[in-house]
Amino acid sequence: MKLFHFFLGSIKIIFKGGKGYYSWIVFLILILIWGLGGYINQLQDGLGVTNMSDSVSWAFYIGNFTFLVGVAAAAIMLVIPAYIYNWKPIKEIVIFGELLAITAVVMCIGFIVVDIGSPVKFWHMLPIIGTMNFPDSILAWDFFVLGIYFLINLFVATYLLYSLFIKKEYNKSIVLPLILLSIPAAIAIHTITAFLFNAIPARPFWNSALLAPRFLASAFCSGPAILIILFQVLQKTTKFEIKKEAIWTIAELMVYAMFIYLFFTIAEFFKEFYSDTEHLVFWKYLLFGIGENKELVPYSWLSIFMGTTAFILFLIPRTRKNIITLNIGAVLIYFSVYIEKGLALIIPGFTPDVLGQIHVYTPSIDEIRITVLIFSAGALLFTFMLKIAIAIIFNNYSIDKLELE
Amino acid sequence: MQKGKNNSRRDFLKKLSLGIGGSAVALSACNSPDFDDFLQKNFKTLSKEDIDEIILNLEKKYSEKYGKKFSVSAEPAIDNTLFGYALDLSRCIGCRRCVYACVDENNQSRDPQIHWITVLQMDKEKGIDYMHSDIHYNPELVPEEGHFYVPVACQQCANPPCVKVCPATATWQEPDGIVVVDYNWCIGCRYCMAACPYGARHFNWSEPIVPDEEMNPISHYLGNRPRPKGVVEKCTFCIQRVREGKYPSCVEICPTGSRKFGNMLDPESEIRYILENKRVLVLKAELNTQPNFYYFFGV
Amino acid sequence: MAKENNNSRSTFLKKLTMAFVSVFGLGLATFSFQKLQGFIKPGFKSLSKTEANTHISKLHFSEVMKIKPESPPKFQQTSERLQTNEI
Repeated sequence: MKLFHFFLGSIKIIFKGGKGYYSWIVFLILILIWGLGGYINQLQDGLGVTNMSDSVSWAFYIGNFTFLVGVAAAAIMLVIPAYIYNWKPIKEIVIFGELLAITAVVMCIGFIVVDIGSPVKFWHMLPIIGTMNFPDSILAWDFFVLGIYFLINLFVATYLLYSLFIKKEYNKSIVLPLILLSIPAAIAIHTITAFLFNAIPARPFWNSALLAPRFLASAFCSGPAILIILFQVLQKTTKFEIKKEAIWTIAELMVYAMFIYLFFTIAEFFKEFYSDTEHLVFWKYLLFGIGENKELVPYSWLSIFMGTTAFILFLIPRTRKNIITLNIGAVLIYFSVYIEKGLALIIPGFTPDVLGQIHVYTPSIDEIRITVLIFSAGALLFTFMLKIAIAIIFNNYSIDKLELE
Repeated sequence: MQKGKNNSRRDFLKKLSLGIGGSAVALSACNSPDFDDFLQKNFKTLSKEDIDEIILNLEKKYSEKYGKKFSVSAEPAIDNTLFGYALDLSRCIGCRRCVYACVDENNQSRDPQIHWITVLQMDKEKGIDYMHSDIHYNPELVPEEGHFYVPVACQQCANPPCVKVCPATATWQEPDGIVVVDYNWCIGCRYCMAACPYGARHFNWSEPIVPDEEMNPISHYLGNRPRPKGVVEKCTFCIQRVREGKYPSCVEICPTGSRKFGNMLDPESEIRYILENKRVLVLKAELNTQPNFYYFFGV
Repeated sequence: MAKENNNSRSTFLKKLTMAFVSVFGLGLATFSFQKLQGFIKPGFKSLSKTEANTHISKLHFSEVMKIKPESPPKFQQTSERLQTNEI
């Protein structure tokens, strides 16, 4: 019964809001509808509406999927310090990291669903009802760990909010082990997503042992960047409170992550360019283009430029502690990683293809629309969850108030 | 597609489907699936009776759809058989007869175009070098001076990377060495296409188009039967032919006799003679895919 | 969130290890090594790529064999696909 009240209360709170809140929701719904049109096209005509081909058989969807797995994994960025070092300022906001993780995993599943050719047959890769190729296929592993990670975060976040809502002390012996389990699970989701690509010796571009560590380092840059911006927006628009130290602590952790990310990338560059083997061709396509084909060159350099600038801004204590330069840095690193994962990771893996043919790929309008669809649906979900969480945590919205109404 | 289905089981399933969430209904409405098809299990796990029933239904469905007598075989692998293929690089002139014979035999989509065989033109000076190969060559006459030709199709690897990565076990290697796809089971994730080092797997990006009159009605469940959109397909050594004791159609069409095929376990076979007496090359040997497809120099 | 917890770093690390073991152990427990096909290649003499390239440089196709090739594949042309999709 109380659980029912919790859900009822959550739904009620979603519909309560000012003009700003409603216009944000309407905006999201409008672009969601625009994106949905693209998905309807794709359902009717098949993946032919994308610019993918037998040569470039994975592209923008899988790039977005990979990026979002990183965002989901980065929620642990906040959990680790909160629990190892007992940093109070961060501990209060861990739940928002978890909500972000839930959203990101839902969006990941969304990108997988739009990428597969026969979405109604999705159940074929599930265990028991389907024939999951479990230990052999890394995709099966990925699905497995993503599922676990999603369930853990969903349960912990819901349980904590529910306990607050019914004004009961939560059971620490349930929550703590789950949060501890979510740490390796977060590392696992991103590592295994990297292994997804790493496991393919046919594609030398991905066949580097540094891929998984680089994935993790980049995730620890982009995920917290979203949170830094988000916390400030929430502080301005709601009763959400966050201490300055918490943001600086996150920023400081991001500097380490960025340094490691940069170092790994340089190590990869060195290995490829100094050895100058036939596998260099993929990096050449990415950074300089091959002959006339320079489609990715502006993006890859933009990503490098933005990443480096963000690193410098975060490295210097003065610019790190200045709220304006901090925000610029956070936006830059977010887009740097987004371009790196969305375009620069997947496409060069297929260009040139295994038989040396170059098939030019750039996302089609329907691919962009479908991407917008998933991002707007994710933003909508995240907005609703935030609304509920803030009402319960900061506005003392509880079961008593619901009964009063 | 919209045929009268008075079958009570189907009715029941239809009603059941109405109960499934709105999105699922929307999805299935767009794909207009046959619900028996939808609930069908992985071919590998089906019993003999199930297979017989499915085959009968398919034959009926295809015969109606294409207006000719359609046969769908589910002939299993013959005992003591392991198929091998050898291609003579010193004879191949790059005429692409094999490419189109394969398209006709195996009902590949004409638009969007799918070719299971890719013929690479390479420079004699550079040797085997994929990065400088050309698939769009179109001179008046082949072979062109200074070039040689390497046709590539599925290498039917003994250690197939595509099978290993499939999350749904929708593709596997048959006992006779042929790597097959269950088109009803494939979810279309295309992980196998990323994993294949030979570009041998092809995807039905849109609804495949084959003119009814060109449709080859002699088919195999795991081979050349019509495919839906959104699934992966590949060379099967013409499974519908070789399990009946015939040669693959690319072997038959080749005007120069560059293509050799047979049972590697049969000591009297031509393929065995080549393997024992010629030195053979496998593509991308460093990846340990162990192809059952060999390249050699006859002269 | 959880209030003051008295976990020392070592117990934390212990729990972390346990968590890792539980996540990966399940998969590893069911792991079966893929069996390769048991066909021993009967004395095949392999040819390396370098040796093949030497053969290739000496290849000679007779003039009698020259014929018109079939048309090249179309599927690599992105622009064409785009046009058909726009209709």
